Amino acid sequence: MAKKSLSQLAPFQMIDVTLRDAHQCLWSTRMTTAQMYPALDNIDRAGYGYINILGGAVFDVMVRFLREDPWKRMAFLSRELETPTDALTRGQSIYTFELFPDDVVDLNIALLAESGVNVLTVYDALNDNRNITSSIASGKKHGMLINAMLTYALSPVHDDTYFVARAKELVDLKVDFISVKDPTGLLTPERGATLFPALVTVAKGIPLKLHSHCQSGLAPLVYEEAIKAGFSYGYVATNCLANGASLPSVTEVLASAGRLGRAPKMNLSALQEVDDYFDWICTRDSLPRGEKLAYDPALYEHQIPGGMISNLRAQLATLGIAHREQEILEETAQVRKDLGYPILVSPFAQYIVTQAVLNVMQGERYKTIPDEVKLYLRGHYGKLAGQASAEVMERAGVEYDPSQRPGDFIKPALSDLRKQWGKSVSREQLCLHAFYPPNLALGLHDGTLIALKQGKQLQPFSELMKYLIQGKNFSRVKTRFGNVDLSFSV
Amino acid sequence: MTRKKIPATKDGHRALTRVKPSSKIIPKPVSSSIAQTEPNVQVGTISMQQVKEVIGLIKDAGHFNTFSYKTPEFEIEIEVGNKRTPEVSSSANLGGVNQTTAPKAVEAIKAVETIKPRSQAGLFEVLSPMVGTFYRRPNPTSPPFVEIGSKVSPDTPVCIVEVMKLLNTISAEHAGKIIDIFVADGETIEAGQVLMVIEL
Repeated sequence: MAKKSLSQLAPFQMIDVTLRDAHQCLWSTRMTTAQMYPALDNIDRAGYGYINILGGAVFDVMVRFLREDPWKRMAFLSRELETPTDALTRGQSIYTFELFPDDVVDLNIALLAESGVNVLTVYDALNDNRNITSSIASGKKHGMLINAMLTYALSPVHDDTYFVARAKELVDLKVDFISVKDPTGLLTPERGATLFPALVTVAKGIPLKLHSHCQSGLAPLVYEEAIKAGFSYGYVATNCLANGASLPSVTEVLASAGRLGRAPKMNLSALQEVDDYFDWICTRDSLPRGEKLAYDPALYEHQIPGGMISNLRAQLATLGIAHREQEILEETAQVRKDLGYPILVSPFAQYIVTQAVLNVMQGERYKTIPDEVKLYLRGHYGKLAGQASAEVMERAGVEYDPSQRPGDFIKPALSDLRKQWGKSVSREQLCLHAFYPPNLALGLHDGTLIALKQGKQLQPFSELMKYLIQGKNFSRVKTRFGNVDLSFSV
Repeated sequence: MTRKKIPATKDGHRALTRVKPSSKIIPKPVSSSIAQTEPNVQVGTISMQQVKEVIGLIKDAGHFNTFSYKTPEFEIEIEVGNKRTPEVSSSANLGGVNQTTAPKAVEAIKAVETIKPRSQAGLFEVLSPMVGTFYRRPNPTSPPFVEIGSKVSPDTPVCIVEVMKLLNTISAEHAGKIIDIFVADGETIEAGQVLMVIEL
């Protein structure tokens, strides 16, 4: 087949992550359904190929911190948006860090499909594709398109041959899309220039997507390489919530696609409206915007994902060891090598960082090894990319045996949960019980009701009041609007 | 409007379209559009543009005692008091480090540097590896790993310490008998704190 020129290729389409990864990276995943609602119509008419509305952290933070019912949000967003929606799970780990049995994996995916989600995006943090086979089967059974992700990492074992081999497995699993997920923004244009064409070749016509973060400042250039190589889609965010630890800005990637002759048709005024809206929310609720980061070579050493760095700093501060951050970051590089180069994504990033903290604080490597790290070393979570060091295996006192699919270790859970919670409990609630203890699974509120009550159109006067009463040091505010007089003092 | 348009993929493969269960269908209101043709839809006569303008002015004003803004339809007057600071908390608290954890963090700095077990005179102290949470049992419904008087060998698990959300099963490290357990199940522990004492 003769190589097509770029302009002969279909347009490079955008996938919005503003409602998911953007706030996961910049707002610690705290965007509420009410904050999303006024933006939905404009996101919908902006011309996105897909809209990503769910990821592991979103579900988990909704339950643990926002106390919002995730199922209600999923159905609400998929109903409000005509653009197909995309939900991401961590395969056998679903939304959390543990492994779940196949019956829970299937129930979760059935519920996503029923709530109107069209695309199931799934990845395994170890790139052991046996951990996503049950999800793929469930997604297909429930009529979803499957987008399987390869998780990118930098290490001596993660060369192009490694990723091509993983992509080949995904082709054999007959997925609908293959994505390159670069959670730490480690891809460089140079690496993209070799890796992307190799993946396009092995994908044999399966469309490819790029999902890369901006910590290194290089992501917009990496997207250009993907556009040149013939990728079909790129995950992007609205301008004010792009960059930083988030993904590239939609207008920036759109401009790149235009320069390279592959611009999709998008509604620029709708994009602007979306951005004006979230820019206002940042002002009103004192939330951070994404800032462009300068190229940072240190990132290539520690490889800690953006969401994790801010978390880590907060944790170190709580533990009173913020002053040892540098040592701990250096130790993560050693731990990662000793553990056979796991990719620094959830949950393995947490394992590595915690092990590094223990090593540094105890002044001795691997004196204490978390139980989860021992399970990882046994191959309980899947195949290791490289080989764990003899020292760590000896101190952990375990044998590596990856012969079994991790999901096979876990016995089905639904029938026991059904017995425990009774016939009348909804499947949505049952699924929450499979994930969380009762104190978290019960008592979630319906965030969509708050969104509906607030309305989808901003009321400028009340928006101004919301801004003024939020912790600003005003002792007295007096206002007259039409025939309404309002004053308050503190 | 009950089904979504799924774009055909590059190889011409067209995705499945699916009719959503009818119970889920809620028709979209016809007049649902916000601000598409008219950015900053007016409610009364103040627009989001004006709101942003007012806030821009407030921010630009820097330190002020009173601020006032008047149009025929809208006026606002703001006073800054220096008597007391309002204790309205901002919704922007993202759950990172907050004020209340600060004093504890300062104490912890003293407690943690490098930790070494202090084995002495026939006794071995099981120390906490880190700031964390202490658990005496493998899971909430199980009996405790050990009780006072339990005989242990070096690899007997004696407790779990949760550090940064990960569980660390702590072994006795020495053979002997548990003669003291200082911490209750679920308590927060400091780095280097003595958890148990083993008589060797």
